[in-house]
Amino acid sequence: MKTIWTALAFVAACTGVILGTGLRARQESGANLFSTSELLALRSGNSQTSEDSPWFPATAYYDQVRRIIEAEYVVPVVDKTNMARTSLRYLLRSLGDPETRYYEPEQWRAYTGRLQGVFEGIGADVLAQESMTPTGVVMPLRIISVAPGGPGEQAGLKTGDIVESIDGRWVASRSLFDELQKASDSFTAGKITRKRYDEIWQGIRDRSERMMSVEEATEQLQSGTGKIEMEIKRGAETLQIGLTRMVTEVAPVVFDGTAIRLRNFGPGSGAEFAQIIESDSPKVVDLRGNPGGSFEEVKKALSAVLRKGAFATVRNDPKAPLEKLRIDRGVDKPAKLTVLVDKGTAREAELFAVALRDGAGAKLEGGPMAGLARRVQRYALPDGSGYAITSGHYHDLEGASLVREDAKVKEARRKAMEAAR
Amino acid sequence: MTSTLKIVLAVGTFVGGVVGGYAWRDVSEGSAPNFAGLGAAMRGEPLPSAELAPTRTVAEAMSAIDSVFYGNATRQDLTYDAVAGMLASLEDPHTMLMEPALAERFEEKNTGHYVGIGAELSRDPLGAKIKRIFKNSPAQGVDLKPNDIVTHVDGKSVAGRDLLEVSESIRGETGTWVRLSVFRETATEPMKFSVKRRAVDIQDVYGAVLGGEGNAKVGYLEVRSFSETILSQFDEELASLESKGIRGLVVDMRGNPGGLLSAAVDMSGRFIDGKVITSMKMRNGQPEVFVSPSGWSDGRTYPVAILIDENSASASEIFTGAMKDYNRATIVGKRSYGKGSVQRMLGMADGSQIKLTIARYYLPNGESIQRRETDEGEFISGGIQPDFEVEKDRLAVNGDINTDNQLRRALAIVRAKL
Repeated sequence: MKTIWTALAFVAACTGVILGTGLRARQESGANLFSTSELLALRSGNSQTSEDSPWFPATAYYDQVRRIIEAEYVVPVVDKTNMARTSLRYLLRSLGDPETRYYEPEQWRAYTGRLQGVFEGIGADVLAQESMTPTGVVMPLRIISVAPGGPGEQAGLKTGDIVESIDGRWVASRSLFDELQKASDSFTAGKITRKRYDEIWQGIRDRSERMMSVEEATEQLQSGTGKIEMEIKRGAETLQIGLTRMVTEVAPVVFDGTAIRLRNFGPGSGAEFAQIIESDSPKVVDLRGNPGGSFEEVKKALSAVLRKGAFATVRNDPKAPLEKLRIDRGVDKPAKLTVLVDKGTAREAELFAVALRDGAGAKLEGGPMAGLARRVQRYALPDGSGYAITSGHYHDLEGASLVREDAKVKEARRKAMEAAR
Repeated sequence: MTSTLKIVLAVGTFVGGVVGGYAWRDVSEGSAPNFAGLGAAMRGEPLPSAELAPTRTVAEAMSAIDSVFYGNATRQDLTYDAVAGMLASLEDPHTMLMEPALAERFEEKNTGHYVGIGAELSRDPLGAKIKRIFKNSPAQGVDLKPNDIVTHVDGKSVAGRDLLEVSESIRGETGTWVRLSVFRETATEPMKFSVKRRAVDIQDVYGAVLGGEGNAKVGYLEVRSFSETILSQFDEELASLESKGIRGLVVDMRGNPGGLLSAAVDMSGRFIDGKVITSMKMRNGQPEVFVSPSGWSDGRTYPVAILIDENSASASEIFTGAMKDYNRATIVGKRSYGKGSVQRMLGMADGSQIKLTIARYYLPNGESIQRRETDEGEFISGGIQPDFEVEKDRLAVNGDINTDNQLRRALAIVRAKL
């Protein structure tokens, strides 16, 4: 009898420890706390490896280095949160995807806000995306779209503008090196003198000494308050634009009697769109400058204009087959619509536009669109920061990709990665 | 014991287990158990702390990437990137991760030979300037010269490229060729060279006798790094110079990035007998004091000048600092780099290496030579301040008495003491 009680106490203690550690782990990961099946699954959750890579004890390696640092680094490491954040920043940036990145708390708030139509900073959707020049890959910081009514719009910012400098500091991109290499070629070809070359070099050096990273620049533009001065490249033109940053709330749906303007896919946009379609049957849907938003809102809006069933496709891995995206509810007779798009029509808005084209024979006017229709998973962290990971590329029903990728950039990046390893 | 009591005890054990299990991470990470967090967990709330646990956070992000990321990424590469980020968070330029391939090359460099053309490069606006041509090297064979500026490697411009990147592109397999476009101040046209790569021995100490014919002979010793074999090279060259009857010495530490601390301490012993050269302080514990060996200074009393510049770092600063503090040498040139820290190489099982700053060292007078700057990058303290500050002429070639104005100044200072 005594043995049974001892065993029972032992089992109770063990169960307690397992539940306790599991609880802590789930709480830290921000998961649903009291789902038993997940709680038990978690114990084996970390050893997951991708099939195409040889097994590597990733967590063990990282943790070993962390312990070494904590024990031996010349000064005690006080800010572990900073350590975690910087790790995430490097880790996610290394994936080389424009939407895959880590966001500091303030940036995360601004980012999740933008998805809901609340723009901080200059009131614009900006993105640094690699593109190819004759001398190499550059990463211009581009205005994807401008929030209506925001300080950016009022100051005259336009879709497609490239931000070259902020408050006199240069946004780091390879263009400085391109400039230098071009000058070097001119010099060796005898087209310019050594004196002229040294002047160019000095100019570039001065600029590079006052340089800010693309990440910092993005942060300056999309969060924060106060005045900001920008040097903008628009085609061959260079403009100086100054403005005061502030919060701009953009109502997702505006209806003027004939055209329904969908300005973003923020909360409630789907239902509001559906309601206007039902009551006023507008003929024109204006998606210009719509930076996207929630996939669920897109589906709600589509349910009001398409038959139920597949409306587009997605590829979740470059090698995976296309998967159909469906709506479970729909209308019997799709509405006949004209859809206005432009370079600022981005992400989920692009998906929405092609779904209308393929499912309801809508005519797309304007364009091309931004070519940024990636499916993105978002992960919030307990310190208020978070990260986003691109999990797929949206395609239309026919299987044409809605993500524009420069094959040369991809090749250059692949080579660079290979060289780096 | 009654059954009730037993049940109460069992329940108690269970609850204790939950609490213990919950708090285990805090205990294992050396912080106080977070009971407030447990309270929150019981209410189904997230951890109230705004802290992130690094390993946990990174492991989760990797799992997320594994399961959802569109594209390819191996766990190994991801781990290196995360570790690079962790090390970067320390904001110490000398703490870094060397991935296996890089670690291998680094090792190769320390063993004293590599495959290339045998030219040492320095920064230049146009690309990379040749600082020195190694004896009996392919570069010497094709008549490349110090101060030549490499503008293109295999037809590609290298202007604005990192020096490491440039030297990487010049190196390669034995027997292969590299094409260089070179700008030479005295030539009217860009010059083109094809150079066949082969194994080159690294020579770290160069000796020469300056003067003669009426002037007193003064030795010149350039010490390029503090590698494993440096001390025997140094002794050999010094003995050779002394046998030629030198009456003073200029030691050139310009561009010397340092290396083995023990070599610097031993080298100091050639001039300073049995004195504290430096003390090293790790995070915990007593300072470790390094004393120069006794019986090696051989009664040397001739005047010594040491040349330094902004790229003289670490072990070369320890040697120079000790020589300065004991008034054994006059220092000429530019303020040195200011690297007063000690790194340890930690080999990992996968072949990568972690280079970690584990200690700071101090000069005999107690000063730290670690460079300190304001947030704007302005100088506060650190490095070795030369007794005579001399800017280097743009066309100066180190060790060439005709063009090297810093060397001429050092020589004049030594001669004045004879």
